[in-house]
Amino acid sequence: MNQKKEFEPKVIAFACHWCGVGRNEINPVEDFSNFKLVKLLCSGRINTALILKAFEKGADGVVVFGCPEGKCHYNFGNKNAIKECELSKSLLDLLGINAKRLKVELGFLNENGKLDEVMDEFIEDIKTLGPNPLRVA
Amino acid sequence: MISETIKKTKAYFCLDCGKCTALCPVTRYNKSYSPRKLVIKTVNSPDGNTLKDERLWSCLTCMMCQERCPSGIDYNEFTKLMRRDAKNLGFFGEPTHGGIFESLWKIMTAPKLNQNRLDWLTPDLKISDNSEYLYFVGCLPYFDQFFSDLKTDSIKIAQSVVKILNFFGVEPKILKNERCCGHDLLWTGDFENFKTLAEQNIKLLKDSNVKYVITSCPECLTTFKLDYPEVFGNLDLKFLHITEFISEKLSSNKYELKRVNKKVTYQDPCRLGRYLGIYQKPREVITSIPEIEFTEMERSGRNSVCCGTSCWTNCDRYSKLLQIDRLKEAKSTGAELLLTACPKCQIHFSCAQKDENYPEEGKIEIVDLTTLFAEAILKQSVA
Ligand code: SF4
Ligand code: SF4
Repeated sequence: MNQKKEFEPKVIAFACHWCGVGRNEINPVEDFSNFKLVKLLCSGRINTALILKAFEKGADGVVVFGCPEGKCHYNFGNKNAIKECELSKSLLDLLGINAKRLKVELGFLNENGKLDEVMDEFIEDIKTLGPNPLRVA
Repeated sequence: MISETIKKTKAYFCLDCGKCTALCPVTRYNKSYSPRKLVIKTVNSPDGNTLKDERLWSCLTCMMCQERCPSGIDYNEFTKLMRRDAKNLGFFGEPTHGGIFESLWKIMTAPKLNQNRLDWLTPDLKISDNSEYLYFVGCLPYFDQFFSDLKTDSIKIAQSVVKILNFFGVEPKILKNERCCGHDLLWTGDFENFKTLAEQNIKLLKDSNVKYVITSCPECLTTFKLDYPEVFGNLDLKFLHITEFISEKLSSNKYELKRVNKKVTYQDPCRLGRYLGIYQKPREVITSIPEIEFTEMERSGRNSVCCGTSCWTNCDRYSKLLQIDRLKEAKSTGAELLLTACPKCQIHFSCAQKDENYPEEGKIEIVDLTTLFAEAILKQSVA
């Protein structure tokens, strides 16, 4: 009862519209119980600036979803997403923010509860890492 | 606020002579930009309307106009303060690279940040915790990663500085958690975050018990020498650009350097030149290298032209046009190398050359002066 309140990570996921993550097609942003989902027209739309912005604003973890390799609707979008995430990871590392706080996941995740599985596992990892060091006063 | 800005910068002395606009390298390409008009409009109707003017963000803060203003109006300070007030009202420039640098600077204000920024220190580079000298590396590790596609290898500048310092018998102290100096936040109007970064750096510098702080970035140097004291008073430290350090060493002793048989020219960074008046030292460093052939560009020293963009803001087609002309000018000297003394000049000029239709007459290799000098030094000091 008087246990310390468990750390609830702030997690944001960016998802490609074509890989079918999310519950409906209309809302550009969806609130899940333990994370926020922002839909992009293609995972290729993600860039290092957006990812860092999320951390600057206090996110504890960021996930980028894209279509499986070779299945990008625009051919090269998911490759771009991977490249941008790699660059972001190198900058996070310089800043001393654990690069594990950023995850890229390619695949059609709307099938068989795969999305929940990936997100739950990621959120558990973030819980172990603790809050974003920028939020620690 | 506006009335204070007018008073502080003496904008009310404006004669409407237009010298500033005639000299401004931005106006040359972007006819809608006029420093004269911005000053006159602000003085004539100090109702804050100019704060919304997006052209406030086109200025390169290169200081060219200010040097020639017959009324001695501080146009740089004018831009700085106007941007501060504009930002407070929610107006700002167009951030280049999606605003990533703004995020980086703001992230660096976090007190508990524990960076991993020293991986570039190879075992041959000697540093020491008990040194009179501190090398302030600045944003080089970040530039190096972010601009890896430009192949500028910004981190080579840092490695070269340590190599040079070692050559002259100095093992510098280097801080694991130095923050961005805050230059770009200051010049994009974010005074609050600038102060936070400055306070953190000042504490780190004071606690490090050094006498001299060496920089390889003219923006860090200007910020330390001119802007920190304005807010925090005298810091009781001596700040030096690496070229000042080298030229001082070269004048007090004889050193043997390797020959570098190259034709070179030199880009004066606005901060190093017009802001701090350091024109001669970099030239002494260049010409100290045996067999190097140094030619000045037509517009050099006080008349040198800015590299075309500043504070990662409003980099646009006018910036590109300016850069192309400047690079053509560099190449027309017959030089194979354009030497820079500011990591951003190197990045901007390299980026300009990446354009698909970039003209052959402007293709020139760009090397930081410290990198070149480090190549000319022998393994061992012969002092
Ligand atoms: S040069 Fe000075 S006096 Fe002349 S228009 Fe420009 S700001 Fe006014
Ligand atoms: S500081 Fe430079 S860019 Fe700005 S108005 Fe003056 S000359 Fe033009």
